[in-house]
Amino acid sequence: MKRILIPVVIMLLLTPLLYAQNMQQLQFIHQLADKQEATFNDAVTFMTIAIGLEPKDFSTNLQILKNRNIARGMSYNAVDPIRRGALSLMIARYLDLSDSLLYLIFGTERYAFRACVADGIMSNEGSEWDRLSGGELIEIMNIAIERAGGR
Amino acid sequence: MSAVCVVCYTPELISDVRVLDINGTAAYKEQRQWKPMKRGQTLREGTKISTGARSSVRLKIDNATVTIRQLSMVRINRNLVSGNSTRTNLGLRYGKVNARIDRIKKLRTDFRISTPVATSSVRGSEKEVSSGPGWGTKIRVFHGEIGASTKLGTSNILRKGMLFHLKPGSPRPSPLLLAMWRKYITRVNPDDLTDEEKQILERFGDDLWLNFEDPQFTSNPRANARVNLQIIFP
Repeated sequence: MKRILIPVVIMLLLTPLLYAQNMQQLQFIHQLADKQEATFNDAVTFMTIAIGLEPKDFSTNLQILKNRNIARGMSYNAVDPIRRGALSLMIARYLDLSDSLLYLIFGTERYAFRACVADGIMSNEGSEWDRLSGGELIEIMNIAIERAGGR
Repeated sequence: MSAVCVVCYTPELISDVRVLDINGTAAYKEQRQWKPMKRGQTLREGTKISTGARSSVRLKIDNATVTIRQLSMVRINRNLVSGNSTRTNLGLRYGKVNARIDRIKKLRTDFRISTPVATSSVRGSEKEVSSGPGWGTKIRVFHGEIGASTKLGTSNILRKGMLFHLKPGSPRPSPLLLAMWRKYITRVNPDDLTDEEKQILERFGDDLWLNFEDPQFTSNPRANARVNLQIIFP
């Protein structure tokens, strides 16, 4: 009886906590959708959600992404605007894109952007220097997560 | 005259939307507050629905089954039922929605999905609508026939396999058969390539087009290439 009761009690205690965390994720997305300009922090938070973790503060999230090689070598500040190039590089690493020779050789934001264009993750209009709005960040991450096996 | 009008008038009733399944995180906003969505609950006109990453929601709206994909925001703009007709309008702010509408005899269905720039209407078919500020609005038809129109008044009839793609800032959609054409575009290699060279071209060939403005080595290669074609006449 105890063996059944303990997991049930734990589940009951965890459920409100999980609801709160899930609502936090949605709140982040709703706020992001209204932003004229998304920041590097927004991209890092979104990428943390994409890998299936609950986002925490900026430096913790960034460290997680660095440990997973997704944000390796990136030294942007939290408030810096996120540009297509930097986001492309994180996505290319997240999805392990390997069908662009120039990206494989140089591994730069420029060629990561071209690789994302070739894979239909980003539109071919614009350049790697373009800043992104919150809505654009959501749209791009939607495609990236879908490619990684999302719904 | 007024008596005739009273006889002809059939009142329209607000119909409920039922939540069939939830995968992952989804919430709804009825008045001012977002609340977690539950399986089996009903939603009313004016409700907003939002899904998180790796999440989806399936709704039953009269004779339609609607799947709201991950990272989407949808508003139930209208859902009315009168004697033998239903009128539904979903507003897709961002994300992707799949709608399957079953045709029911004697029931007139007006099912619309509106994005900030276009609207699609449907009767007895399946379609997928996506919207975002970068790619714009895309409407795919899986079966049946739908109408798609832009806010500026351009309208098209779409059938299976067609893609309505309205890019941001564009007054009219891309050619509707573009997605089908792309399926039939293939790379042709010169006959004198080695297997290794073919493999490299197969894997990295796109780089030549994407990374160079005018790839001189591809513009006029002057080599023979054999092509086998199978032509199917309708």
